[in-house]
Amino acid sequence: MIRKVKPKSLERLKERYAFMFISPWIIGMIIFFLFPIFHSIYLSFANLTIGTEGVLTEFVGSENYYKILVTDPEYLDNVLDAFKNIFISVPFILVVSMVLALLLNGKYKGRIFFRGLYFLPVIIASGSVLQLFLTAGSTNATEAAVSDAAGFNLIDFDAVLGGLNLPSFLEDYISLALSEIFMLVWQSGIQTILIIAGLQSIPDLHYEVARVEGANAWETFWFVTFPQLIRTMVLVIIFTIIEVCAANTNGIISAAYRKFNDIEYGVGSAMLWFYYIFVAAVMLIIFFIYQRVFVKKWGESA
Amino acid sequence: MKKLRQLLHLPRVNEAKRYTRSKVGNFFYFFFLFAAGVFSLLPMIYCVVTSFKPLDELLVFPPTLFTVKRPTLNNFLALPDLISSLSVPLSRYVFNSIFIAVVGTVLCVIFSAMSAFVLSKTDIKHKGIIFTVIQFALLFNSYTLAIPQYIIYSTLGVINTYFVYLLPTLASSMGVFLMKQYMDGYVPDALIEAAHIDGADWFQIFGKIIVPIIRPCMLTLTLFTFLGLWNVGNAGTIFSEQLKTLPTVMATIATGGLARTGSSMAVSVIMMIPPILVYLISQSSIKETMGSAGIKG
Repeated sequence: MIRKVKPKSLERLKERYAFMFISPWIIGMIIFFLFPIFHSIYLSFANLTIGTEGVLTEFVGSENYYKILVTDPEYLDNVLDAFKNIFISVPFILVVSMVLALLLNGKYKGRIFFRGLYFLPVIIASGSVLQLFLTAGSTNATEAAVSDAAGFNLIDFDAVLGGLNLPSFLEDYISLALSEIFMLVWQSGIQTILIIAGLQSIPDLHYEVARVEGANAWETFWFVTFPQLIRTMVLVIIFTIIEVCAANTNGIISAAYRKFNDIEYGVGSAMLWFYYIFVAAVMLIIFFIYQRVFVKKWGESA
Repeated sequence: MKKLRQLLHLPRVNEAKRYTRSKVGNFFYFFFLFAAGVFSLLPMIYCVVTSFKPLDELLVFPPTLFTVKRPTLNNFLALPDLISSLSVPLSRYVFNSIFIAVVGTVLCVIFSAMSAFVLSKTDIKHKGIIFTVIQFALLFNSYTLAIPQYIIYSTLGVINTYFVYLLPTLASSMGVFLMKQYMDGYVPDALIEAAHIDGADWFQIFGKIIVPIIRPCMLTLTLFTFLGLWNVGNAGTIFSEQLKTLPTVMATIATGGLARTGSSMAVSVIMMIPPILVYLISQSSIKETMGSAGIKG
């Protein structure tokens, strides 16, 4: 191919165009995220009143944080509940979505149909339909009725669990997971799709090699699929934690929302900020484990 | 360039890859898939069934969930009446919703891909800081930012315009995060170098090398963004009725109380159709990625 333009080195090319490509996003990020974030941090230390001259803010120092951590009897309990919720929901969602993704990634006729089947809950759970259930205040009734219909309540789970003599934390875990099983399964849809996208990116060649070497399905999963899926899994874990922690049904979020409606914006912001720091700590731990354990074990491929 | 593309379109080494499974295994495989599928479908069925129920059956207690004795189309037929009592024709809401969802999704996917390309494949300054900000941004619930964002919109003078819906899609942290992770894993640096040596300029590298490889990721992001934008409400920043979206109409219809339950279910059944269509289109056009075929063969 004959080129009229004199060739430039790749590095020069990158220097020249990289900034152009990323600038729209950076501008958007600064205007619609960074500025609001800092403003919101400021608000969590301030008292916000709406007067005749518009919105007035007055700096009050740590008063809002004192209010939520010392005066408010529910707040810390809510944070603890949220923490427990992470450990119940996230592993469950991960396992469900992983199993579904592996099943759905197989090559057979009608897999689009099956995938569609599993994606429908995502539309429901993220959409206006769920909103409708919630506003009608009938979520629990609906769920209870649905699980009745599915024959769930025919079995007395608590009695069965009691009979198994499991350690009490495990028993709590199972009964909580069961009571929320519908919400959890419905929440697994997006994760399933993310994992399928990850699975499809694993080169067939690797499976080919595994087959030639005589690996069975179990070994193939642990030595071929899993190591290459770690990156996707970290993404999925983070996504799931966010989904669980930032759900509008979450105790803290709804408490903060009530505060916003009462125009106590400062207290509401303080509630959310303290909670975010807490969730961020959990995510940092997960990143740390990922870096230390998995990247070390599988090197660059992870 | 031509050589490279030939390389990219190499036929796959072996198309037929299947684990040999017994007939019993196959049976359980599909049985499990089907059972779990029905399980996750229950709310959907509930929704559809309810939309066909006459009023007296809706009010039965305990509720009958999946059975309807006398199915009726009244809930759907009542919609034109309900809609004609709105001050703005329904077509306007439909247009708004579709316009916002399509334009927003396209903007979001293109800008995310561009930024992710830079973050993943160049050594731009402060890369680490930018990526930390992205991960941080993923955490935030929209409530936290509601008031500060309102202040920004009003400073920019875009309150009560389409921009309120569209501008935030430019700064999608989820999209960039998803794409960057994907590119780190599946776009080999060597491929970009090879393209450069073959004489591709920056835009060709992006359009002809990067985009085809990250297609699965782009389609997944399209799906998420579309869903998010399709369900977007008018969080206190849209006041004129002409600019509101379909979910708002649905909320209006649903506020009619118990008597409107059937109709609001009918609307939600209709609301579900476009996301399902987008899903089917995006999923069926995901082909196996070509990233591996380009270099490793």
